[in-house]
Amino acid sequence: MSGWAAIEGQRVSAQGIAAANSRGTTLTGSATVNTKGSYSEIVSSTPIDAIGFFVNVNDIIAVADNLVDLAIGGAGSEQVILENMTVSSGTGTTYRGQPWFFPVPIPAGTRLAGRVQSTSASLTVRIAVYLLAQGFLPSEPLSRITTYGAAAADSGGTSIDPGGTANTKGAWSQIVASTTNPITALMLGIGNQVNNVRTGAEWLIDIGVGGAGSEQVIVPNFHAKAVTTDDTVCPTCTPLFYVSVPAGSRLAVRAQSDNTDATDRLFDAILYGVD
Amino acid sequence: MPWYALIQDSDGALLSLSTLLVSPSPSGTTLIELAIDPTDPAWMYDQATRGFVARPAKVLIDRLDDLVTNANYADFLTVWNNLSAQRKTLLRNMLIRLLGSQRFRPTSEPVEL
Repeated sequence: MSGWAAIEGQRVSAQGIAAANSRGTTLTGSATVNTKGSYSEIVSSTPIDAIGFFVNVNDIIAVADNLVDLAIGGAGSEQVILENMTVSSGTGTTYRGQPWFFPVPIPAGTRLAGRVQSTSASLTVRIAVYLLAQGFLPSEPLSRITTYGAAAADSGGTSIDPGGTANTKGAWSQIVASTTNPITALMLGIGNQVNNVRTGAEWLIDIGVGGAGSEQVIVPNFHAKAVTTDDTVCPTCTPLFYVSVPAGSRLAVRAQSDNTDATDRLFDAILYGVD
Repeated sequence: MPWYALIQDSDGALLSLSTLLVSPSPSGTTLIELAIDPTDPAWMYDQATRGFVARPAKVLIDRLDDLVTNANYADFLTVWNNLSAQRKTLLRNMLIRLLGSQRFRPTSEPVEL
């Protein structure tokens, strides 16, 4: 017999949907590569009080690494709430999107906008945001997202090298020497380094915290994979891991791979701390 | 902002890359200051020399070259050799459009799609 659960009753509101062509809102990168384009409005006024949201970037039609910002606020006064979301496409037209979830509230009546930078001039992506309103007994939302390890110069992240020995953990690569804010939940974004001729590869990825030589693994062995048909490391992000990390901590990432090719074993990493 | 590499004394394995100076380094390791940014994919650690070297460029093979050099495609080569230079160019341009992003392959990738 089904019961009525107090945590049910969430509302979901999709924003930025262009029903006329069954897509999200178009964001266009600058004509200058690796430069943020102008903001495009996703919604002028959110209809519900959201305790969290999914953001889905899709439809990348060129081989490129891209960084997407999601912002709130009026035109000309946008404040970024999610900075440098990494979305990469290895072989053009194959990036199909992966929703990223953040338990960060967005009040009703908020204007949402997005912008993108890319290694490909004037590249377009589509974005949609799914707002989640609370159920009867909502979980406590978090408040902000802090990005670590993004590299605006090449629209990527911090390069991770598993090393030349197959299936053996490589060196830790520092993502940030000292976290700006405490972390309640952590997500890893994975970039493709504009490699559109990848050979197949599998990775196991660790996230660690601590000084050089003293790193402690907090997220072990996240599995990622690339195949030759789409030349893209997937998935492009992990789920949120609810690991507590104090402000002022050093974060690092390491990996192992079955592929020892000097180029194809590499990927980019960006960490998103939520508190 | 300098980068440091923490290297295992016993075998030269690279353990960690950091912008923070760790002094003293953990037992059995040595911390060296780097003149380069090791997170730049252009650089690669060489365990034998315990230093960073330029990452070798990736070798790619043009599938158009495969068509005219691979013994498995001798029939294509027979036809190709009977074409005029102009017709070779026309056919080559069409094959480039057809292959698109799959024109170039890593050496370990099969010729056939």
